[in-house]
Amino acid sequence: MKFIRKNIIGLAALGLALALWTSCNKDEQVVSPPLPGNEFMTTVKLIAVNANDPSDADTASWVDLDPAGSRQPDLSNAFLDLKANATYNVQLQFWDESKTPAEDITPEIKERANYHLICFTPQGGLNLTVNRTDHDGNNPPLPVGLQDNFVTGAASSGDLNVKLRHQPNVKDGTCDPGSTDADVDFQINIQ
Amino acid sequence: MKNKIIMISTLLVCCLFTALGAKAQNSQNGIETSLKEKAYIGITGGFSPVFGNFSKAEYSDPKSGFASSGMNIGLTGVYFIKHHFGIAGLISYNGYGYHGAQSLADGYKEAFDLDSTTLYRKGNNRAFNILVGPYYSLPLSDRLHLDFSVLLGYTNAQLSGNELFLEDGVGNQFEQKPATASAFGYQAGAGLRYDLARHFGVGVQAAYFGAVPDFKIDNINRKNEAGRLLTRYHQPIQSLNLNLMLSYRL
Repeated sequence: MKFIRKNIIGLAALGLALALWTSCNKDEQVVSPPLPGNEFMTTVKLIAVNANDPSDADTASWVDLDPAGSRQPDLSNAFLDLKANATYNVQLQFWDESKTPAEDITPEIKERANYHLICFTPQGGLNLTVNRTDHDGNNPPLPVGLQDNFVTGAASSGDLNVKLRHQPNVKDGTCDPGSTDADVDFQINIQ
Repeated sequence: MKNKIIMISTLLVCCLFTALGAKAQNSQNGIETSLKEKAYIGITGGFSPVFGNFSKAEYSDPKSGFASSGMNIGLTGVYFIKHHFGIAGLISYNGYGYHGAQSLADGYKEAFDLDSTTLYRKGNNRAFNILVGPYYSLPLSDRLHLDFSVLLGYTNAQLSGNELFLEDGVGNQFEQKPATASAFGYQAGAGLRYDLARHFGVGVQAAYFGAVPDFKIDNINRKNEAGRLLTRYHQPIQSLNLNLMLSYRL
């Protein structure tokens, strides 16, 4: 009888010790790894419409259907002709033309505007000022760049560098934080 | 949940009245089956499965508590006021597990359109309780007792947090800090207790524990409004405590 009692007490003590031990949880780490076959952007479009003359409209396209390969981008339509001393409403579009039909990625970027920013850098003496006109849902709202005003100055020509910056949880309105999703140059002619 | 509490309470009250009825009948017949029970203290511990939203693990559901079943340990004391009626006190610690971290890591990866994310859990889901309440012990034999209790009191709980590292950029991790809150806690249950010797005994118990703390959650380095962001969590913590007990009768 004494032996049975001792065993029962021992088992109960063991159970209690187990309870105490397992109630002290350890920290854990979980990684969500990259998925294979991510979509990519092949085409960046600038659609410019003169704010005072809607008939003055132009579209430029920068196309690279082989972003991972050695084929050079198609720059045959990567230029805009703009009038001097004018204001243009410009819309930026991103496409994946590797698919059939081609997929417009722009709505996805718009949906994720809180951590995306488009940066414009005129180069080579180009008399162009770019003002972003759309804003995201952050508090306070920060610019995005899918909708812009291009304000031209005197006649000039040069490149306009367009970068789509991916700034998850680091977007602060500047171009520096984050990484680059797209980096393309358009030739701009102001006449 | 209210229905469960009402059901358990009704069951306890029914058992109590049945026992009282039998006891009264015995007394009328001149058969006093037992004297006042002896006070005892006990150490309890066992498995604690969790229920409800607290146990859900869905990234898109802000009610999800990401808690999994855990263990509990406690110190209980019972003092009998008259015959089999007593008052019980319990100091206990419920340590719950954590699950669904992968759902969080995947959800944030999708929400921020990233290649990968790494999530670290911060802190434990737990509840520390100080509860008191009525206790009734129904003797089934010289050594075996069927015990009932309804305990109410103070619960201090913690909701675990997490820190997420986003794959690209430097220093762009953010953190949901572990949150603590106090609330009214309750536990109702029944158990069997067996006296092994003059002082020592063992027992098994099943008790339903609940509390509804209102956690205010601090978030560190959340710069952009994207992804799951909790600033408050006000959902019931519900668990069943299935325990073993070592008791010492005074």
